[in-house]
Amino acid sequence: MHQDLYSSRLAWIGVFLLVVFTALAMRFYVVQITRHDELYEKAREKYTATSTQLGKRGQIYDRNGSLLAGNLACRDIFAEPKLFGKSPGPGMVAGYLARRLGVPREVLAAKFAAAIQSDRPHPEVVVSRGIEIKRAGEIEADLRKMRIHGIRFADTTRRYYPKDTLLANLLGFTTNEGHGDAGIEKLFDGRLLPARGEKTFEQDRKGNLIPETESEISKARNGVNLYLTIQEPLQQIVESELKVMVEHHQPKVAYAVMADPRTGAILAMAQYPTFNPNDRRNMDPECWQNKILTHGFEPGSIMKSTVVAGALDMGLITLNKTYFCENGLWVYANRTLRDSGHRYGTLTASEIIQKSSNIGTAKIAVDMGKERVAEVLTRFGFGKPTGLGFPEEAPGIFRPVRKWDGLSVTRMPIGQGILVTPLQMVQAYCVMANRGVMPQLHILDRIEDPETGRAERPDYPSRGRVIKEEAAELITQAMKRVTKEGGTAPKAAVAGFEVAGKTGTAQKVENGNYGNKYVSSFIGYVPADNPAFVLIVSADEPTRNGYYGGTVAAPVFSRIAEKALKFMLIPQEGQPGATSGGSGPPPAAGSYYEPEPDMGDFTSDDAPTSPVP
Amino acid sequence: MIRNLFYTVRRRLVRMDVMMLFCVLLLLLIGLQTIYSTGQEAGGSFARHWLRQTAWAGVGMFLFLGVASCDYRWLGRISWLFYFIGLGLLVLVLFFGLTVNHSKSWLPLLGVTVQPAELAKPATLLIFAWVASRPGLRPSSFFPLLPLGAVFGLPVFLIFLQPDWGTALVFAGMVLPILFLGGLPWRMILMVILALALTTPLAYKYVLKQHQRDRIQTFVNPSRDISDTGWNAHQSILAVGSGGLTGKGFMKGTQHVLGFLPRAVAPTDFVFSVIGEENGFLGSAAVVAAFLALIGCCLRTAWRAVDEFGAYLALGVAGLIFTHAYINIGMNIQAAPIIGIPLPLVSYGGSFLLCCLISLGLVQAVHIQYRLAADRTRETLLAPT
Repeated sequence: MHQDLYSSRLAWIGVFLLVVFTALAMRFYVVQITRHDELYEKAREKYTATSTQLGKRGQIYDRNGSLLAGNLACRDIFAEPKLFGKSPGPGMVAGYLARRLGVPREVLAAKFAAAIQSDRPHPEVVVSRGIEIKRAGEIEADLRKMRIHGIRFADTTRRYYPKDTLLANLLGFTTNEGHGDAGIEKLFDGRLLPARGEKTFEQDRKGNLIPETESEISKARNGVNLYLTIQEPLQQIVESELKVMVEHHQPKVAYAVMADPRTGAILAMAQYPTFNPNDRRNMDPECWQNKILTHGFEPGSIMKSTVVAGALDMGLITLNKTYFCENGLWVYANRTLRDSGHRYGTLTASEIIQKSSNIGTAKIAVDMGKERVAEVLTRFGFGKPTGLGFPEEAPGIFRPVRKWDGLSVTRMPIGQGILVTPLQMVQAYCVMANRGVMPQLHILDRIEDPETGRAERPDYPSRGRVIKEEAAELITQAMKRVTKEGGTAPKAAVAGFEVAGKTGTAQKVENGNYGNKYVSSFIGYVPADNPAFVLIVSADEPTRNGYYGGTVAAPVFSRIAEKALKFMLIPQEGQPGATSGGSGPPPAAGSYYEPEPDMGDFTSDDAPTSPVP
Repeated sequence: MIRNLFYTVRRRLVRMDVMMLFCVLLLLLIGLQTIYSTGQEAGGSFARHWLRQTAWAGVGMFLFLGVASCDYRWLGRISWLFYFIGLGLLVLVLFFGLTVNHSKSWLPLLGVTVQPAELAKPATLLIFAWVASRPGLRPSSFFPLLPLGAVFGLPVFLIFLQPDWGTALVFAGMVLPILFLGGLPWRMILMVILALALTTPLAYKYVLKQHQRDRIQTFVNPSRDISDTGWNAHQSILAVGSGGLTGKGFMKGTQHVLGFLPRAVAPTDFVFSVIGEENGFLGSAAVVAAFLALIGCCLRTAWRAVDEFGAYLALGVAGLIFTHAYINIGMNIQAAPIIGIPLPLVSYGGSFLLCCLISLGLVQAVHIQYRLAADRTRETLLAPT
């Protein structure tokens, strides 16, 4: 049996075996010892996963806790077309979803086709985001009935503006991904954004969480809640009256801003045209831009009060100082200045304001000299943003005095050759209403931590004294006459209250010349001696039923003021409880009325049950 | 009569190769432990796998001892009977088989499902070794290769039809050493190697199916596709690699526990990666050493066998165990392509366990006959003359 052949061949086999098994053992050594760390790390990556939770975006309320921007639970719809199956097929699914969701069918079909072609393991496409819970439920049930697989519904939230167009231009809106894209949403995006929470856990192959393996790396946190200085009832009043004006006079643009002159708090801010942030299909940038911040315009006569107030402050004139108004036609520096059809003779400074004489104002300015005029305009804040906080806020155009031409000193005081924003104008009138001190205009009342409920109220120190208290009182006296018999705006009067204000009817420059398009404005404050608010109403290019500021804007001012004063429970003058001009400490803006909890028509878990004091 | 049988059986069994028996029991226990571990973590029907495997092992050990106590030369004379039973089952499975993983290889029989291909392995080995050891049919020339080819080709052809290339390949691993030992001339061996080298690319392109080509591609380039074809290979090397020197401990392997190593393959084709992960390099090395020892025992028996038939049998079994063990272990550590064949004595699966234990029983029978002959020689030498 033990022939040589057998022995040698068995030896061959034995050697072969030894070699192979040695190689195998070496391979094990490499895999399990040399590459252990690398492979172990890879294996760990496989079974430890990170999950992220997102808190809710902070909500925006008015000063009294009425919800202006909130979050609505909704569902995103995703599709993994590879799972659709043969019947009914991707084409049918695309057709069905397109019909239900209003998405173009071709777009969906193209997305599906791309996903089916894709080599990625689970190609998923977004079908539609932010679908209402109820509708998503119906669609889900339909899909089940039709035996369509591969559609996923993910719970999420969507930004929702319960008051639709109310305050839309100031609030702004968010992107589909939940980032602030305009307005308050953008300005305070950093604070409103929720913090992402991260957890690691071990998971099985299907991604199921293994119990008791979780560890929290960071906690999800909701964004802070903002309480604006806006008061929704006042905003409602302003917006509805502005709408009436827009319908009657058909301007291109119209706006109204109401501010508390003592604190600088913006109480209302309305604009036409506006938009509905809940309806994202047709949003024209023309509509969502906040022109109150960004739109520089030649203000016209509403500028006069500032320069006259400056002259009074510098002691250059008294209210009774008289100027000859050249019977309506004055040639200065080889250019003619007119009093737009009026032929005034000698007017006191007070009357110049009352009747809005261009020649009278120009003569006061000439007496002051261009340095002083420039100084006054600078002190009233023109040429600089008001510091409301928006980066897009425009400074207007106010050339430095060394670049003025010979005419400037007569034109700037009557609001020509200078561009201001409506907000700068409000700021200037706040000075006059606030006894000569410029308040810091602001929009944010307080920030609330959603976890603790603790509110943080920013401090807005005033921007300093602009004119003496006496000068402010005098210019107020002069402006009171504007709304009286013989003034330019008796229609701005409010029954039972003294109104201090000024009209403006600014011709717009067209092709380098003043044409027949106008900006019609009225700005003023009421009650004149103890103002509850400063209000500007302005219509850019009214096309119907007149164009004078006293005709277009003044009546709107009056109607808004009347309703607002009633809402604020300001007693009429001469009635019990009336505060006579200047006596006693001015009441704080918040004490004019008792805030009411506002539930609105928007109810959710997030609606506050009582406003934070 | 029965007493005689009992004494005969005892006389034979006490002459078993104890070393080999030890290796067999060790590997069986490691297998059961691993199947228990994966089963408990996976839950469901997997949890009871170890009980079924124990039952199969019991039946298998009974057959092992039964075959060991037979005279293999008698088994050789009736080998055609087993062979044709095996062929019959292979034909039946083509008509009544259940298809799993592209192959129709499972046959429901008497309440259990068996893989006829596994049962055909020892039967084919037995008849092949018997034919090859007939005088005049020694495979040292060309003519005897024809009947041997027929004996080998019939079951392999039937298995091709399932199709189950992995198992067919194992048949080659079983008979080639026999041809080699039988004296196949070197020039024929070289010619065959040359012919294979030339035809392999063609076969790859025209004969193999896509999933088979994918597996080979994955072997050549392991990171080519870890999502689909390469998933198991990738997960198993992560499992083995993360075991380190001493492993993560009994039932602590995360790859199969967390289902990264699919539950269906963890106790079968990829059982080794579980061992590597839980018992580390020491555990893997122990298993490799056990297989080396087991195959060594078979080779020793082949060397000592009293006749050519016995040597061929033992060597064929060595080839069978080696082919299975090398490919199965190798594919867990990317040292062999993914061919879905189980690890002898360790993997879950009754048919193959029976196949292994019957085959090893044959080796024991050869060994016992050698010991009997040796004892007889000693008695003759010691007997007073």
